Amino acid sequence: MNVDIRVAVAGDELQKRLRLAAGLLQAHKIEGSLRPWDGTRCDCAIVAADDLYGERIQDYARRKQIPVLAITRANDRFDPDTATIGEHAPLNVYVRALLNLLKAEAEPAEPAQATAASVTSRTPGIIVLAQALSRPSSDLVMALDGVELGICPSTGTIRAASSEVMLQARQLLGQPGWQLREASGGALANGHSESLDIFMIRAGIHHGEALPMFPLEGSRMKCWPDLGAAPDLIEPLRVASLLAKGHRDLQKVAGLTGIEPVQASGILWGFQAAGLIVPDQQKMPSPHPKTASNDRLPAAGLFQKLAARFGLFQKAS
Amino acid sequence: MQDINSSAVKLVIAGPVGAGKTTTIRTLSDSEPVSTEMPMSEPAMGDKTTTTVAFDFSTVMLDDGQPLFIYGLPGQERFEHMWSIVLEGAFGVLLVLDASDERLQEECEGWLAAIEKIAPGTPVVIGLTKTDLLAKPDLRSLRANLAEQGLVLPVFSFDARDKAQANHMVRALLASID
Ligand SMILES: Nc1nc2c(ncn2[C@@H]2O[C@H](COP(=O)(O)OP(=O)(O)O)[C@@H](O)[C@H]2O)c(=O)[nH]1
Ligand SMILES: [Mg+2]
Repeated sequence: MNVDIRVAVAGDELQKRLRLAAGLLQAHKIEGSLRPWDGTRCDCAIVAADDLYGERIQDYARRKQIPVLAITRANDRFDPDTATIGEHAPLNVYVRALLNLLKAEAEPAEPAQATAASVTSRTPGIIVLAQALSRPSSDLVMALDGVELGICPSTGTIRAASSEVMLQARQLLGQPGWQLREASGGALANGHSESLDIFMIRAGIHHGEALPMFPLEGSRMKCWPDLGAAPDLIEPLRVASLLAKGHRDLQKVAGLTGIEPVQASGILWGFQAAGLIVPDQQKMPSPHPKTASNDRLPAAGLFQKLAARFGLFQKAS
Repeated sequence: MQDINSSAVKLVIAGPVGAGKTTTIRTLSDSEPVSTEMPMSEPAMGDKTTTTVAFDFSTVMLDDGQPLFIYGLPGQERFEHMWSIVLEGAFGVLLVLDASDERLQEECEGWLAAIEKIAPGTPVVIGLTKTDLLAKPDLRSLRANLAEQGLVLPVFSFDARDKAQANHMVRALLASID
């Protein structure tokens, strides 16, 4: 279905968000084109709720029976009764609002594929994924309304339609309602791709405070995260080094890293959502404890000097 | 040149030719690394002949002016007998490998085995360069294979030309021995 959406609102950020949202309608088999309002026939209009021009368009559109979405500064929600949406509402809410306006069903594009899904209504997306990736997994697609992420655990990459969608998705991963399904061949193959580890750790840090405490007892770090391209992620590096040494107490890990337990917990959710943490019962060969070679370790004072020179204890800004 | 076996603080950057060792050393250093020469005795045809071996060397100043010596460990097979001299007393090894090399897995295992044999217990982190050149980057196979052998160590993809990323490799090494 092609839909013609006319826009009568200003602001680069808002325009960008509307373009992204219109693009994401594709997941619902809708080709949305955005053009400036010019008073001609269209499928829906988007106006500012709080200005006169917007009100005039609303009156006109009502007479012509064109559905209108009004953007308000009053809140960040979508109200289907008044067809108003908060300017700063997240991307998926914009998608939902457009679908509602166009009377389209907010269904996943390929409902038949949703069998592998664990649709857990109240669980935040990052935890849904963390649970799925605590076992070996094939490639997955996770979606919230039209926002889609392709997760590829075998190569350690994550994909989205564009870097903007990727960023939006990261901000939405703390929300419930994400659906997970197995990827059918070539899902999101042409989009923007990033390191799964780094993406999920940043998501975990972003949402840490809103998530339950990570259950670290009974878990084990299977591999170090690949943090090479993220030199700002110093605390996750230190958390990983503590897990590699066998630490299993969240409070202690946080204390030794010098961060709050919720922050450590967020980092750990990120590790698990990248498939790096597995249940401990799963009997994998335990890591060789490197034959203690204390003669090799630089003396404590020296270690501090090296750590200072290379910024190991520097606070992430 | 300072005595390579003094009690100096020593970091070794190892890896095959073309992986990015010299670039890493340059990126980490305050000053341009020098390629320095070391006389080597090697048993050849029953005779002892002397040859010189070139390798990268550079210093980084720590806070109180104490130098950290960084050595490049050359990959040529025939210089293996100098590895023990270079590795002696190093607090760790950054093993630099070219991610676009088809023989990545074998290279990695070969180097890890050699380091473990010559300087057992030396902490190692692996830095994979040139992932930017890969059409379909696979950031995981090597790491997963090592984990299957019970080797859980940092395997980071980094760009040897990027100072922050090269520094981060050294942090990973320090964090893993702390
Ligand atoms: N594209 C790319 N080139 C790199 C990277 N790291 C190193 N190089 C290049 O690889 C080449 C070989 O590096 P070099 O340091 O001389 O390798 P060495 O033989 O191990 O000392 C140089 O041209 C570097 O600029 C990387 O991450 N990406
Ligand atoms: Mg070189």
